[in-house]
Amino acid sequence: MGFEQANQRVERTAQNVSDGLVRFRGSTRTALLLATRDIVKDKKVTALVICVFAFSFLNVIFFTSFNNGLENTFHDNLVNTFTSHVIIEPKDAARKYITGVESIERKVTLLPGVVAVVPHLDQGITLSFRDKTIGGHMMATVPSKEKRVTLIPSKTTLGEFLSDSDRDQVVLGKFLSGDEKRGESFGFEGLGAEVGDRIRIDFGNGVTREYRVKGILEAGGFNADFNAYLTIKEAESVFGFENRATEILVRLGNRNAAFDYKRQILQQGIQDQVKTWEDKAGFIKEITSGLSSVTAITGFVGVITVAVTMAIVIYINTTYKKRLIGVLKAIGASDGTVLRVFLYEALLFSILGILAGVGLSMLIGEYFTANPIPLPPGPVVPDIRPELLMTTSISILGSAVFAALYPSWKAARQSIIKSIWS
Amino acid sequence: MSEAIRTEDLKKIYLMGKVEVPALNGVSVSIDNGEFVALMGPSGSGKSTMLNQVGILDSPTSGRVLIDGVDTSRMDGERRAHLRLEKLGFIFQFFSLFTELTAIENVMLPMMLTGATPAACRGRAKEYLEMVGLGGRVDHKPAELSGGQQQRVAIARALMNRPKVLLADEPTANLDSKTSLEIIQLFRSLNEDTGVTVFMVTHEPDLGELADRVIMLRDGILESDGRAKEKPRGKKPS
Repeated sequence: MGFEQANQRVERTAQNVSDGLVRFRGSTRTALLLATRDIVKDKKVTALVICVFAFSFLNVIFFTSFNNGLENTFHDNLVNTFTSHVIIEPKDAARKYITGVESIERKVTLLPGVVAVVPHLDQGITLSFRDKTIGGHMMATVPSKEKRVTLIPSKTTLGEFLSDSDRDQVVLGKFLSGDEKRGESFGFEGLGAEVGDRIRIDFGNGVTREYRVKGILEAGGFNADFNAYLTIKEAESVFGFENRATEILVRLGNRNAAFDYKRQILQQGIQDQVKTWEDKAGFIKEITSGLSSVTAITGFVGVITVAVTMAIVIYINTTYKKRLIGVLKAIGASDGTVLRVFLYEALLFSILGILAGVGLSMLIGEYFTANPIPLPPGPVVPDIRPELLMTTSISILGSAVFAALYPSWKAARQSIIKSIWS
Repeated sequence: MSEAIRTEDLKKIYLMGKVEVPALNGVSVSIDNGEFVALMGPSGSGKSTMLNQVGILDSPTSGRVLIDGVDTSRMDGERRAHLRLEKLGFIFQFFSLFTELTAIENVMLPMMLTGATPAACRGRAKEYLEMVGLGGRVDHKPAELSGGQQQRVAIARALMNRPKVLLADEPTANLDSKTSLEIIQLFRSLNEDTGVTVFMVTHEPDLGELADRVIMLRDGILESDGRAKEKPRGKKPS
């Protein structure tokens, strides 16, 4: 008897659950029908709401992707004109030079995946041309290797870059050459020297030599445009030593594998400091994080705009439909069904708005890919990342549905009598 | 014959600020299955309040309402909604259709809420629209229908879940006299053909006389309860 009763209870519970699921399905279908028809009915309002959503979406996407693009430009400049992928530096500040450069170069070059290695010698110098004298930086390199490790040689805009055998030739960054015709000088007064002019360089060890300007480059990077480039052989003859460098740059096949190569290089028994380009990019984070907070505020305003719009639309809708809400409840719809009608409406508005926003973002992205924004660090192409689209979509969807919740809940809870006679 | 509706000492008091206004003052009625009852009375007599109580759209201050033998007094909102869905069909005096839906979609709504498949809902809705004489207007929107046609759609909608009771709140209030008569005759024939109980509020004595029974309310009190003078028979709606 007890077993039979328990069995009946289980059957009743199962039946109740099954009935509940069927009713839920029915309620969902009804709510979806009413929500979709309502959206289709008033095309002008729907178009306006979608526009607000799309532009709010674009507002969030554009500033963040611009910031991403700026960061990319900074990173590209860093890698292409300053650090390459991995950079080897003297062990500590007390040691000015890396010694045994050839041996290190050999070891690192042998690692699979390493494209090329170039040593640099970097010293403070004084440059003079006619009556002008300015302070600057010498960057001595091996030109044939430099071409494989950085893009600096390819940035020579006037004349040409050095060749390995050059001794009395110099290539000047645009700020040292100082021709204001070549663009923004950032208040830096250069020599005013052109290709073919002869300039004088005073080195820190007291040696003074004359060099012919072989080329002028415009790298748009961090230091490159403030450097005077010599061959490393010439610098060694000035300083009277060999097989030394202030840094060794390593180019990899895959920029993202830098950390792994840092580890591999250290495993070669190299005693000097090995850093990845990302280790050196900390200052970029500092620059872009300032912009990130502005972007976050802009994005927040966009999301709030969506939420307020949605709340207003649903509030107006529930007020306008008060009587029909009463009728719907009178014919047997539960509070949950009424709630869902308006939540689905918010959801559908959001989905349509987000789709329009994604389309608009893609169009804007295409435009700026073809026409990058010219900025001092280089041309910036807004970087619209899939995860950015995803998080923005979720934020917009979440805020819209959340904003719709209160007016929908209020509509669902209102008394049938008051609704019908409103 | 079993009872479709039973009210026991039904009282409803509204609060207007701090003043208590009694709308129903201990009304007890019993309506059997298959009856066609007109609820009449002057303005403010409590007709609509009574209908709202019977339709479990509102809760009484005291007393009980039983629908098809089920006591509704202790039901929560969810169970009341379910009872309305299964046992009651509503027709209002205003044209209570969803303007963005077609006639057939409006009629389908109550059955859709039960979880029935769209095909089943469409099939039955078409059947009922034909029954109320709108078989050729299934895909028309309410704005494309006359007042009388809209009310017929509302009647078809009220019938969709084959309810025990049809509740009509002055269903002809916004219609001309010819259409009003057609609508009442439609109620009559539905009552006779399907056996559905009809409980209709009206303030028009001519229409009330077409019912089996007339309940008169005055000042929230049952004034009289008896058979109507005349019952039209065998006259189907055109």
